[in-house]
Amino acid sequence: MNETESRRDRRRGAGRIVPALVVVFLVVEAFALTWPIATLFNDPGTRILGLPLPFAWSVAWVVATFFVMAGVWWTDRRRER
Amino acid sequence: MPQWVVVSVVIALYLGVTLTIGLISGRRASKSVDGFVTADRSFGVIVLYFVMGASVFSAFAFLGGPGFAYGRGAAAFYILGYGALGMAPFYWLGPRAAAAGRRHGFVTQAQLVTGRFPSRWLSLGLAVMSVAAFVPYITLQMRGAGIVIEVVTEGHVPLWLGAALAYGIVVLYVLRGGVAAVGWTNTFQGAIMLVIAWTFGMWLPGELYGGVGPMFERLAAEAGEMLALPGLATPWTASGSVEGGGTAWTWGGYSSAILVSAIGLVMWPHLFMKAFTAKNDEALRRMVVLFPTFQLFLIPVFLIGFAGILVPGLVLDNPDYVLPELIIGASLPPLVVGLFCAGALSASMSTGDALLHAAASITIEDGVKPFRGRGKERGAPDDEARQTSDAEERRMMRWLVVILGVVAYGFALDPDSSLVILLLSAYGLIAQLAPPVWAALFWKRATTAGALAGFVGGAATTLFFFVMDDLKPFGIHEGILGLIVHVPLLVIVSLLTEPQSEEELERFFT
Repeated sequence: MNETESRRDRRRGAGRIVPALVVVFLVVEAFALTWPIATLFNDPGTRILGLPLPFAWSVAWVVATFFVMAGVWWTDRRRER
Repeated sequence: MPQWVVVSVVIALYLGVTLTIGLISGRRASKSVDGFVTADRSFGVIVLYFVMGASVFSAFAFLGGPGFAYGRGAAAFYILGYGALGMAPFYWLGPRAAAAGRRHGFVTQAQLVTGRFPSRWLSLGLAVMSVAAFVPYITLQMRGAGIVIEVVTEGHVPLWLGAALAYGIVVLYVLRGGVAAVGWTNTFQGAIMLVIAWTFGMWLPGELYGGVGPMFERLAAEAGEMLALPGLATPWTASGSVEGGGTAWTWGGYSSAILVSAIGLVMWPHLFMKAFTAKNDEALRRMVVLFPTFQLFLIPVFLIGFAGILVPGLVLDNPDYVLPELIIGASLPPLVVGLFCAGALSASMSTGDALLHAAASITIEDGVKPFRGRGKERGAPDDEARQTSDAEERRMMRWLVVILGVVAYGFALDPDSSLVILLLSAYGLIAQLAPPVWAALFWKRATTAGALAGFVGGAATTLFFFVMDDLKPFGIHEGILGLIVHVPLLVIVSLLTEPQSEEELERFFT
């Protein structure tokens, strides 16, 4: 198997693995934002960038989703090229 | 010059610009059903970004978001929680649906589902459910527009006139340009919403408390329970005091609200149908990636609501009035008040136009057309003779835009209307669209009988628990309970019935 074919195989593999990883990420996100995980990040006295922890926790997951989806898009673009 | 006159002039200017954009952009689309419903599948990433963002975040978010944070505290964070979570799967779902749309000419969600699971009754059921969910939604947008105009003009422009003006313009540009007008006006309105929300939301805490950090420090000291999840189930304002006011929401209620809203988000037909408007898959994917950046506008929206909690003497019977009340109370220049009003109207109109357009399209495409030939049995001998002509369909849709607009306006003028109750159950019902859509595109073993059984069982369960609220275990949302019945029914009945033929599957998937 030459180098080009092996690279193509790796990209094909990424095409299957990336959606699966995103599903895992979204499941983790769903757990993180709901009971019981959210109860661990529920102290209003702790503030991050001025926001109380429960607020900052929700915002952080929105930002994380942006970066994860951007990563997926970038991987797809590379694979398609 | 009195403040309300200046404000009225700014509102008139805003409405004039919106109408102009709607009329001009509508001329770009063809005069066909495809042009009216999908803008000839021409939307790029920028228009898709704003049309999805502005349609998702309606008057409910712009006025109700601050109201939620003000009245129910941390409970508002559930709105922040479900948006990105609900939109992400559209990265794969959207392009698949769009590809099927291009192959088979689908322009609605129900056409996609019944293209895979042929059943006129399933199509009719989806259409009835969608329109039943839309009418109260449009009504609330109209009321929102009327309320904002009435408050900021100090009652000189009453609710009935404000709502009629704003939605008269919406009806005009939707009639003229269909979804092309919706797309470009939403781009303008979405940009206004973002600028106004971020500007006012970052300015207000500084003005009242010296910054965001000091505001939350004071809130944590004086009303800490408002900042802890899951927040309140009922607004504290009913008791007149933020200390100990309102009843606590349950974790079951909060968590299941996030889940059902995330599952239902892109299943709202007026959002899902935008997959058919994309000019290519890349535009859809980029929109999904960028969507969380639009969603972050909820941060300033919530800051406005939290800022209202400790304002002395501000105890509102209806928390949704907190934003206009704070604007009026802040003694801002009339021009700024007018611009704020434009932001709120943008939020209302950008959702109302998409709903009005989708409701008319769905009624004709999914409720009427399958019973008039086309779509009933493709290729049947009498198909051509009975099929509704393109021009006739388009004409019927335009009439329906007017009729539905008038019906919703009638409800909007009735303050005692119980439509809000219907809206509360809408998300649970809309979530029932998710299993047939996912099964249609990703599970070849699913059958028409399975899809029908699941849909009927899920919708019936949702309605049952909506009516019998006390029977809901752990306060779990009725939509989740509906899905717990829906998904197993779909799977079991599909496995017990004969699989669809290879020929049928091939016709749909290739």
